[in-house]
Amino acid sequence: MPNWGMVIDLDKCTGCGACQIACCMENNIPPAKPEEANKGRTILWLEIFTFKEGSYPNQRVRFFPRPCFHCENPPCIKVCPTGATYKNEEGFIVQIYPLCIGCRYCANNCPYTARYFNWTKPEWSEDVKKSLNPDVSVRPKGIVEKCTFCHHRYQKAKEQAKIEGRELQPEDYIPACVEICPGDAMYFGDLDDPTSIVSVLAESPRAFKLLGDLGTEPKVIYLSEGEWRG
Amino acid sequence: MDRREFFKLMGTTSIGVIGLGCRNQYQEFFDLKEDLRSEILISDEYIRTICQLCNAGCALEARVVNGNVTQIKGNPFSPLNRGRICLRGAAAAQHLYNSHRIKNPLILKGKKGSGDYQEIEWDEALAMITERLGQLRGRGEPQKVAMISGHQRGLIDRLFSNFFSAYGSPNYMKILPDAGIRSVLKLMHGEEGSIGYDLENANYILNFAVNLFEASASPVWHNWVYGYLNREREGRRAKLVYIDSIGNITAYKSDEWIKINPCTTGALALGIAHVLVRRNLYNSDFVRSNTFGFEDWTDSNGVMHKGFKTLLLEEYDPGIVSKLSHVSIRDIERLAREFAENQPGIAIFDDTIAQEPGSVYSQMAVHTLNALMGNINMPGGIFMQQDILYSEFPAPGKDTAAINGLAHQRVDLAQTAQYPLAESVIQNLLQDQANDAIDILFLYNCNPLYTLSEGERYKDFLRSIPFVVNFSSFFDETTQYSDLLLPEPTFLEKWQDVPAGTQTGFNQILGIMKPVLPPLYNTRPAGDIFLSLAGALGSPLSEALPWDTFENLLKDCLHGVFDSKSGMIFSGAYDKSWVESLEKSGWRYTTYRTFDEFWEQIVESGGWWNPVFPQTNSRPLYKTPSGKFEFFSQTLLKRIAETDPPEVDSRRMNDETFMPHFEPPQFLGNVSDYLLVLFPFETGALRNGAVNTQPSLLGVMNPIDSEKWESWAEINHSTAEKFNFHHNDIVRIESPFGEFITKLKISNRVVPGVIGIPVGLGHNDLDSSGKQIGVNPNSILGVNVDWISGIETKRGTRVNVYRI
Repeated sequence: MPNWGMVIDLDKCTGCGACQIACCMENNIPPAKPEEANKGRTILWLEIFTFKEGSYPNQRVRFFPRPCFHCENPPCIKVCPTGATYKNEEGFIVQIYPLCIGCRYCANNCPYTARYFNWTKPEWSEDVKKSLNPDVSVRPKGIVEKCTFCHHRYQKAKEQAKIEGRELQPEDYIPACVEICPGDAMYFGDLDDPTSIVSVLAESPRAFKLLGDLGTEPKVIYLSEGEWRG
Repeated sequence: MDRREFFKLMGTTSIGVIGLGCRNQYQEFFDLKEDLRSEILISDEYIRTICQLCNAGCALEARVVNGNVTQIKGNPFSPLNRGRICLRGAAAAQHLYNSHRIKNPLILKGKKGSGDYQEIEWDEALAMITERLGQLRGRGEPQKVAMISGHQRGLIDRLFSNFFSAYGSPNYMKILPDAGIRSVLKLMHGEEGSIGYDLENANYILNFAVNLFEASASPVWHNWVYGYLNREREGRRAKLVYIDSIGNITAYKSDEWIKINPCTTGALALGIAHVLVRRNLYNSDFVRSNTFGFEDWTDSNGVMHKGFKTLLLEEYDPGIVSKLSHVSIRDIERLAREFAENQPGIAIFDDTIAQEPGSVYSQMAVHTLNALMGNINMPGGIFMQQDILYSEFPAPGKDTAAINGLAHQRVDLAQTAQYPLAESVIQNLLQDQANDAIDILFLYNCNPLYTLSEGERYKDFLRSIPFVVNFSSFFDETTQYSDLLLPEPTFLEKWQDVPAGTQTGFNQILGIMKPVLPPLYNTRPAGDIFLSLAGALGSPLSEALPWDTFENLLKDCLHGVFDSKSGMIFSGAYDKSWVESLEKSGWRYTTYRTFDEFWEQIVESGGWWNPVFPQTNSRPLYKTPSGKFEFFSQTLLKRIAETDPPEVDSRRMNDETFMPHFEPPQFLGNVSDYLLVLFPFETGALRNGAVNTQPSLLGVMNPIDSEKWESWAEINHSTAEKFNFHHNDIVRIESPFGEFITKLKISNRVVPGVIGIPVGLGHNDLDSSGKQIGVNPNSILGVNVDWISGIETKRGTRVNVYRI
């Protein structure tokens, strides 16, 4: 079974923001309303963080897209009192929404702040509702949600391969953010296949894992030149 | 996928939900889900079209499920965006399903601005326009019909233009996003057109304020090029140097950001040119054989003229330039040396620097760097893109009414002595001569009340016009002051051709936009309306535009592309090796024999492209009077002589008038009262903000800024210290033309002396709590127009800031 993982090349990422919006559209994440956004309650399964270094006139800014890392050793699932979140046999960290009681322990325990709580009922105008993705369920108020690596696309790809009577190929399944990235800065594939692009890139001297010393073993690996290491 | 599979799939994704049956607690959840699951899957398909949220023209695939657009992604066959799109494209469904859509033709019942509209039938609306048009023409006043169009390329432009010349009005005006570049090309290359940047093959990119990754002409391609130059290209990396007084993600991602004193870009470019010439680093072979006006010269009357070389050496010593631009002498010398030593290098610019006072001269100054290094029509350089070879329209047979009408002066004074080269100068409509000169005004794809300086003043202008017809998909500031609103379908609902890929390394790309779903509302495209108006008005209009629908016009005109026997239909995922093999086969890959096959394939695949670079063509490269690249623009000289010689004196012309040079910027608002220069800037999420239709983007804005759903003004730390301002102060920003209140942000993103404010917010429509979202910096700018290009110099207004 493939060990799905992602590589993000920060030397190619420009911080254009396309992945964030593609994610919102794919996963039916409603736009945060102004009052919620100002409280820092915008839900972005994939969020671009910005690090500013140095002072004028020698400032540098780095952009850092952060999906859920689907860690090998995820701290979030260990604190879930209801078993709503767990690592499934395919290696994804999944969330069963109706089991979630909204305690937010998992959100607090994620060192990457990848989990988001629904403070309000998701809302769209009547017309915009027509554009919701029928493959992804909408989450109600009061529960925690996060990036699924577009797990529904995986399900669909598997179904499709089965109908066509063939094995699933790695290129059949790609999350929305990787698909859209205008800079070709994101890669997705099987980390256990030594010939896959993600495995090759993960071996690069530029590769690092964010907060690697925590032992979470994230399956999202960054590439960056120079001194900068998470 | 059939019905059964779909249910199976839905089952797997939602099994947990149903199985657990927490119905009461999750009633809300089921209500929401109901909308998505109640329908039986009838269809689920991907349909290709072209994006029109900006002018780049990226090719899209829309996923349409049961007649609803549920996802937009890139068309992998397009060489321009190779299956990728930007954040705006991704949220295009919100544009389509926006609640501000105009759903029916509306006629104004009350006063302009009252918003008192009543629905009207299409036939009635069209009869009303036909009658008015017929009467005006019958009275011998066809010139009183005018149009402002925000769309500038392709067949829709030709249609309007043919309509107006057959009808007999010279007043077809456009708001062009690249009027400055077009002017530069006209002045120095002798022909208008769009420019290509072969960034893929460049080793050094001197970027004069082109916000490549957010707000350029083709951001998706530019983003890809960044990754390619940084990581993928074999051999060496390219160096990117960004030059501007205000930062953005392009500045931060470049290898170096040269921060310059506001509005001195032209001086810096000339300083670099000076070093290239003085140190003999320039390509003297190219300059000798392909350029005009570099050395001093004598005209046919025996008058001596100063050459560009003399001008550079006399006036743009790095010492002088350094004082103007606040870039150190060492940096100027270094940039010139690096640029010369890392050829092919390219100096790129767009209309951002044309917004500085000095405008087209600054752009010309930057372009001279390409000429000095001989990087014109060379790999890794700059080139003129060719126009798409559509079939010609029938030449309008002009009757007396048309001839007399066309003889009138343009109402915006474009092409007259004051603006001899400008295509349009919309701002002049605010002047007296425009009063009573227009009887019917058509507005297409534009929102001047929002996007132009002192937009408020257009209210009076629109009020003074008896009949304003607005083709718009959305209610906006300008529709408020229009008499007749004719709802335009969005780009997901209509046919159109989209010449794409300006400022990229491609020569010609033609995207075919087609409806991915039937129109949501009672809309009709402006193209169809003008064709039916032409039919109703009869000869000579019906002969000039002999089509019944725009789709048929498009199909007919594509015969030209088919007959050119060049290029190819988008086919196969874009891939470097595929392109290389095509290069060897002479760029010809024909998948069709007849026109019908060609049409079928181009519609299905989304477009056609022709990558042959102009240098391999036999056509002349420069259409200037000298047949060469002109440092001294004889085109301008000729044009001024043609229009009105007395005006020449009033502009106190000398040799410099025809050459790139730097004039100290004249700002609106004097320096003692107004301390800071206002720089409006575009963000990737909102761009020029003419329409704001995608709430998801407002919730994200851009990664550098934490602000969402609000505007802010940004000043440098040193400015803040000097005037004792603090982060998050609420301030009143005042210019001689207006004022507003916003939040102050202190950052490293702008240079001292500049205040940056994002455009795109501050629309008249209100949020759910009845509050206006943000402010519109255009509203406090003064009107200041460049006389060559007609561009508004939006970086030319000074403001003051008061804490409240």
